[in-house]
Amino acid sequence: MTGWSKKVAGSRVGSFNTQKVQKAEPCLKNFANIEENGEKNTDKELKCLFNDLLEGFLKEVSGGSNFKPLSRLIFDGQEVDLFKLFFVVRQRGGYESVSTNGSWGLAAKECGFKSSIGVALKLVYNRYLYKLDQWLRESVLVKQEVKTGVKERDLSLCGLSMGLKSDLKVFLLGIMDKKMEDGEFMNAEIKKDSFGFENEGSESIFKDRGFVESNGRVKKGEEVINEKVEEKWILNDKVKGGGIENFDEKKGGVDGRKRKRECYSSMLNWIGKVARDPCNPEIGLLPEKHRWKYYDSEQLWKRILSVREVMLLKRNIGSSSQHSIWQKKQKMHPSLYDDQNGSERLRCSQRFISSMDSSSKSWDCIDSDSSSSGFQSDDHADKQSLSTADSISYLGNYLRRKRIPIGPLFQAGLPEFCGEAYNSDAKWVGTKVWPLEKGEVKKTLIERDRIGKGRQESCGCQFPGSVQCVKFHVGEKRMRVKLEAGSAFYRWKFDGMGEEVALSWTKEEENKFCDIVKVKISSSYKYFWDELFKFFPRKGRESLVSYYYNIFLLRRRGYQNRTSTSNIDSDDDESGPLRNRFGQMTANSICCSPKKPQR
Amino acid sequence: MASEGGASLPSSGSDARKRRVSYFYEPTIGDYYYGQGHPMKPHRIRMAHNLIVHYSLYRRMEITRPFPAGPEDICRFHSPEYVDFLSSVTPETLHDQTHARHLKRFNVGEDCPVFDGLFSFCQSSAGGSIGAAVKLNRQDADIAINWAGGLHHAKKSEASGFCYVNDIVLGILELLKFHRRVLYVDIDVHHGDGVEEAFYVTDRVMTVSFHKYGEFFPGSGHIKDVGAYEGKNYALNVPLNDGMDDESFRSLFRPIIKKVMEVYQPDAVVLQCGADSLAGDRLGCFNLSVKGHADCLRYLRSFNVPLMVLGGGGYTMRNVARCWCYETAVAVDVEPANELPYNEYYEYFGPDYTLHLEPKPMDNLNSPRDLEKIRNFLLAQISKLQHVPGVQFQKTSPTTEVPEEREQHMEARAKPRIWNGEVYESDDDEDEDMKLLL
Repeated sequence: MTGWSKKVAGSRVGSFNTQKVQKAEPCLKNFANIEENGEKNTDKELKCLFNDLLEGFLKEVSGGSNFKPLSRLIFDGQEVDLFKLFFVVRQRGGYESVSTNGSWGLAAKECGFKSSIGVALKLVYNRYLYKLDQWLRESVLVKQEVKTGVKERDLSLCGLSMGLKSDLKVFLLGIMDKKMEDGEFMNAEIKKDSFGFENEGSESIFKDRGFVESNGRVKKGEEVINEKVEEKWILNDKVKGGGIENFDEKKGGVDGRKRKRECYSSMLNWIGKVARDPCNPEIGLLPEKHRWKYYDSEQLWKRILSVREVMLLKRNIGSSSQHSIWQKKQKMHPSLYDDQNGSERLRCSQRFISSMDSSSKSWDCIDSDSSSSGFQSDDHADKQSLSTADSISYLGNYLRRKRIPIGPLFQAGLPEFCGEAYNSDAKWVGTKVWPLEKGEVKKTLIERDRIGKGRQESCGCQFPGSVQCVKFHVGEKRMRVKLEAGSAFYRWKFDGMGEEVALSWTKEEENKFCDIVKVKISSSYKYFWDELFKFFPRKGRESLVSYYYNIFLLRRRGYQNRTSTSNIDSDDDESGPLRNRFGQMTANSICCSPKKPQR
Repeated sequence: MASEGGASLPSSGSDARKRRVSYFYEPTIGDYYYGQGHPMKPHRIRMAHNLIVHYSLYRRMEITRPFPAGPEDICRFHSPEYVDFLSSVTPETLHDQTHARHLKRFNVGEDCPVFDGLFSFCQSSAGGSIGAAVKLNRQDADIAINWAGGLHHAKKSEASGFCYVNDIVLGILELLKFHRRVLYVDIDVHHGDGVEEAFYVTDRVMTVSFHKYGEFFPGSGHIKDVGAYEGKNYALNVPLNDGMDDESFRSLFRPIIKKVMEVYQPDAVVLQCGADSLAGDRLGCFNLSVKGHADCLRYLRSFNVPLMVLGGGGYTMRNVARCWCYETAVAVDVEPANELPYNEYYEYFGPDYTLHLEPKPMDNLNSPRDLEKIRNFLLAQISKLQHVPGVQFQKTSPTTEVPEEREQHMEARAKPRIWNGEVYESDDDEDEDMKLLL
């Protein structure tokens, strides 16, 4: 639901946008409008501004990284009005004063809650409002005090609002300027008439709009959603009405504006209702997806879907702007992208256009394009050629493609090609073990096995194939290798392979090892390594693991090979479910293969 | 299949059979232990080495103990913080405050446990692959083998799928100093996501992965994931279904690789030989025989291009040892006998004690029609490549230069998990395309 609470914030900002759109003014001047229209602002709008300011402020303070959008806080079924809380506390002399006087309960009452909510409100205040209050005191109100000589405490709610409004302006413009300096997204063009609706044909409207979407996003994420949502509806209207005039009318109309804001709240209410009680017959049935296009935007659920689509688009744009940062850092020449629709900016807007196009054609597309990852929307152009792949039935087109992240955090930095100038650190040559040094080579070795030779099928043992027989032949083969490999035999640690490992173990130790494993495996807690480490503190991991693979398992396998003809698995070393002390094996693990039976 | 005939480049004529083979083996590798019940068992590498020696294959190779890669070497690809973490964490300090908060961030814990000797294991694996690359670069060898390598899932700042340090990426980075273009081929049953991701935006490395796709780890490797920016079309994914057999595999592998070799003309090739694509693997679901698996190596070898051969997955130990032993034999051009020589691990190979394994009686869910479509699609993609891209001296930022946003990205990014616990939604748009075509 965080997304939706974000939406709430977005709808609050709605008033900016409609003004902006209406007057077709460059965005930077927009904040002046607030002042011009200041008198008309109702308390409600002021509240919107406040929430917006607060959200922007918190975002700045947190550096954007840990910022979580404001969510609706509800106690006793009543939403906490942060705006009100802020002023109630302020009137009572601020956070410290309220805390020392122990008057949070009273403050709660003033906000319309039971006094028992006071403690919770204190936390809320501390979490969301305290910093803002501090900041306002330090930076702005202090100045005002000096200027006007009005004592802070005496400020009426109304007076404060006026002050806050100018604070807000200063504050938001400050954010804007900062972003401009960063220059990551804000292109010079935005200063131009990028909101030029009236003067161009429909195509360029789309282009400009798309462009604005990508740039405007930086100003205020919420604004964009909002703008897009409106746009969406406008588009629908336009499609229905079939004319630019109609378009403009709707857009400019004050009624239209009001209607939209009402829509948000009714949408939210609807969603809240559905979330609370999905089975409520009042909600009615949602038609099949392929029938959605037959419903117009008066249907609440359809509007919600359109909002969702727009939000997904926003996500796309977000990821593409991420790339553009990276490109800047990589200092790649823009011409590298010439084969792909020119610059990133253009691509971004085109992608938007194309998805707008497709969505106006059919609602069925909502999920597809917008949910696929950012840059992969480039594939849109390749659709024709890719369609063959779509027809491979099992390929998992029904699966959501996993996104490959792009950026210096993920890709390797490539070394330069040195060619003949190549030089490597001598250490990488490692330690040569074979062939042997000249002095060690035995020229007199007469009987050497042919390379690739296997075992003789027959032998003169009394019981061919028995454990003793195998032991004998393995020992014999081992001697031949030892003779031929010389020092390499030891440097490959062949002396640590097979039965020889048992030589460093006493009979008692061996028995104990077996006992521990057997007891533990038959118990419900199948993990035997803790016990082994505890019992053989001086052996160490290498020694224990070595014994386990070279002696214990091998002997068990030898026994299994001769007693059971059923399907034996040498790796079945725990004969229990795949679970270990490192945590439960979850469905997300590489160990899980859905079609394989789990052992 | 007319194109099966053989390689187009100077190939395995009788004159070109001999290859100088360099082989890296760390003798302590077998005693690392991921934990009880964990499918990844480094002991399999020791078993493979044991077979290789008992078949006397070592006579035809130069065998080296690798120099362990240091943290600074590993940082050529991985982020310093991640390497710091790997090099300092132990099972005992696992839950210390400093480490505990990194576990999730670096995806260490479940599939990738912290085990005793973790970092030295990674150092050996990476040291072997970098060493192999240096051998090839110095032209001291035609084929360099490191069965302890091939850990293709590891990401720049994240462990994944039993892999902590991506030795392949480190090896390829070393190769790139001396070779303009490197081809990476991955026949592990899992998608080679770590390597693909590392080189997703460059044309200097082309990645080709053959893997099971669909409800399978790591979830990436869609046929339409083709690379981005300069690397567009330089990532090739061959998504396959359960039961892939020798013949089907060959009918894709040979024509695709042939075309790639023709068009891309790599200066060096890296082959990841994950043995979990073999029949009867504990985690895999393909049905390849050892010979079918090794045919990939045989074919790549025939092009006579410097070749690095790495291990990878493989969770039925005896089959991994069989496979990598046989592939070593292919590298040195020996046809070993099927009856295994007596060796220390003889009993692991019972009850048949043979080198080769029989495919399982299971359905091949890859229909000839599907395979043909995949092949045609990918061949079309390859033909879109610019012939033989030259080296573009792109400005590369050293890996140590990391932007501040790191933290944020790491948190925001979903950990690679096989399903993310969510139900896949249908992709209506594509479904519709499909209906039109079918």
